[in-house]
Amino acid sequence: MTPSPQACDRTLAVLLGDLLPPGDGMPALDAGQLAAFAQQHGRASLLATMREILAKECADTPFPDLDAAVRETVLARIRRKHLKAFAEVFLLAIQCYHLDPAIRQAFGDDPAAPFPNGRNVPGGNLELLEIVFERGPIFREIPASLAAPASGNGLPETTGQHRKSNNF
Amino acid sequence: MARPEPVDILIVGAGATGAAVAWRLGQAGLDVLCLEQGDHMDPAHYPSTRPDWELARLQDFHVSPNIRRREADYPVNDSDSPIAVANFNAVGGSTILFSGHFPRFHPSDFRVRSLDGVADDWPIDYGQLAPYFSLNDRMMGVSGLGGDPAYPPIDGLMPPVPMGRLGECLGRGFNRLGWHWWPAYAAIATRPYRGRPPCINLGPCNTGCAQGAKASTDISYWPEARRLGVRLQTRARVSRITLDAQGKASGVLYFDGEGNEWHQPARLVILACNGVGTPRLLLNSACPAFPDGLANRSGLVGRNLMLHPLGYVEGLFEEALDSQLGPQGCSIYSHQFYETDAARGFVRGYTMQVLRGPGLLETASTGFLRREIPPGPGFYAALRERFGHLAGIGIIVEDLPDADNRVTLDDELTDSHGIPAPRIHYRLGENSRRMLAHGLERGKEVMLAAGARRTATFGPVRHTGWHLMGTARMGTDPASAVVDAQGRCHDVDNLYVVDSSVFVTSGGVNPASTMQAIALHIADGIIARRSTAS
Ligand SMILES: Cc1cc2nc3c(=O)[nH]c(=O)nc-3n(C[C@H](O)[C@H](O)[C@H](O)COP(=O)(O)OP(=O)(O)OC[C@H]3O[C@@H](n4cnc5c(N)ncnc54)[C@H](O)[C@@H]3O)c2cc1C
Ligand code: SF4
Repeated sequence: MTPSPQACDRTLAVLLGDLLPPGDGMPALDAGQLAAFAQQHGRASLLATMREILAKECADTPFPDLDAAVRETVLARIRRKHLKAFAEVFLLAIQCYHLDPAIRQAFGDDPAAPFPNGRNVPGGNLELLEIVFERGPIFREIPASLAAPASGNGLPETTGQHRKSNNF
Repeated sequence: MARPEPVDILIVGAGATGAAVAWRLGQAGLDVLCLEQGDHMDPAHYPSTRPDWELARLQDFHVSPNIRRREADYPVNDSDSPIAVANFNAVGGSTILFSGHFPRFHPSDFRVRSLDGVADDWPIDYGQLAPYFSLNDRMMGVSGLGGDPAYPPIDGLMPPVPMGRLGECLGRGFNRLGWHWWPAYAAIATRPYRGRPPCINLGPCNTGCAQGAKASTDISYWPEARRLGVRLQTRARVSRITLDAQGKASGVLYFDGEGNEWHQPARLVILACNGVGTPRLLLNSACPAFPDGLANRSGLVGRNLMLHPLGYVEGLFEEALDSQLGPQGCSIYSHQFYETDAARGFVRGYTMQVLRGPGLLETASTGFLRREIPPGPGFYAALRERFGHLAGIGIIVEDLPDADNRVTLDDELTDSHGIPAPRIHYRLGENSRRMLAHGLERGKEVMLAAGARRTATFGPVRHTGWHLMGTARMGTDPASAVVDAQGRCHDVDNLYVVDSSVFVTSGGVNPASTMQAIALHIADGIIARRSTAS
């Protein structure tokens, strides 16, 4: 028997609550939102596959009706047995979840698009380079005897020798 | 549409090198047309203009054409390679996605046989390219810091991109070990430059720079080339180069955006389709005079593919480094292990390129996949511990040429016009393996010296085949090279190659600066010969 859409949503909602539990300032990921996201990105089949797996693994008691500890065991088993399907659904969930501005903010990430505001990044202490400069050149000089023959393209020839300079 | 009029010079490909050569030839007043299979990009629609920019990297801005599958893309069969090809097909080519890390080859890179007894010396050298490096830097707009002990003097740089807390932290690590490091050379404007605004640290340079600070060639070379009268035709996919009765290139066959096939006659043809696209085109242009591929009497078209196997070292730090901020691929770099030291058990060397940390989504995804971030109640704490606290070092390993590493034409796979797709056959050589292992260990040492509390290393990383070199190598002997020191095919003297297919060896640095300098050098050769002939 195919589960009703309401039962599916409840399964997905409980699953999401287990994978990305709300609390500690973190909002829940809404099952409808994830279903719409999956649809929009052509990945709805991933959720359907996971529902089937859950239905099979919980033949006696539907997944949402199990208590939390049992669900944890079931999910650990599914992760082992159906690694790819489990990973795909979890990755899909975090792809959807990370778009929530509240989540971004909670992690100190800017919820806005990077452009046009940009970000501030400190230049860093260039004095740290003094010691690197003082150790002197580390590239190999090429002796003039190893210079390439004339280039023939109308530009001046060089000798392959290079000056040492400090221009910072 | 009218039948195409003959042109003097026809360039195929409008990427890093196609743009450079087009501009230089245009400057000399030559009649130039460039055919590009992709379209113009619109920076206003780049992913960084949207909050979901990280998703785009998994989809239509993925580095692999096989995943991205845009209309302009052609498939690449890379199932026989641990490293997958990364590119972009549009006006600007792969520079649309490139990080803009812009170091030059070292002088020693052109003399590997003489100095280290491996591979071959190049028929050109650093001294000859020096004026072109400078010219190219001026056109692209390059930031960095003079006085770098790893290089002969480099002038005319804009101030370096900010190294950030991340760069400073790793810089201290390098200093504790007594190793070289320096602010990155970046083809990124850090102040207003030739009408381009400065970098504002958006971060996702690898999905196109909406700000216009990064010098992808659609906004650096192309506007100047167009002003000089160079014509650029987009959505024009070249399938073959044609020959006349004398065995000279007479033009190309191409498909326009509507799928119509045309012959574009030209007096001189220049290929700039990159290290995979160029051999693909030459091999697909086989004809009775060249049954094994055009200009392939040496048998070397497609061979000696070099990819720069990339190792990745990750460090997790207690302190917040805000590592997700700033231009992704540009902060600081090290050439401590660039020049040969036989005691290390390999010849040649590598770059350590410090990489900014991933965005929120990538941090969560990779942390989950590596079982460092668990689903369930521990998710947030583990993610918080990592986001902005991760530092990366890319180990860019010099790949030595190996004739068995090659591009061929796939027997079955084709692009949307029925042109055979390229197929990649590639294995890491023993020297590269040892170098990679060495680099990963040294990278770990840097992380620990900088205070990382955990490190992870892996390589070669699969989706990092973005440096495509060696497949139409340069040399003076027609038996062992496809083109001469001027980029001219030994077998067809009005057919040129300007992209990194011509590289004799790969160096251990990102190649865009060097390949563009070579393209300018080749352009001047063409101009000089034109003026002597007239
Ligand atoms: C994600 C990423 C990051 C990178 N980061 C760096 C970096 O930091 N530093 C660095 O030095 N390099 C970097 N690179 C590599 C650098 O971008 C390339 O090496 C460089 O752009 C190659 O220049 P090219 O002219 O040979 O080819 P491309 O720039 O690839 O251009 C080739 C053009 O030819 C066109 N073309 C191909 N075949 C045909 C055909 N049959 N008909 C018509 N048109 C055709 C393509 O559409 C394309 O636009 C990066 C690349 C990628 C993908
Ligand atoms: S970090 Fe700078 S160069 Fe990179 S995309 Fe942002 S503005 Fe452009």
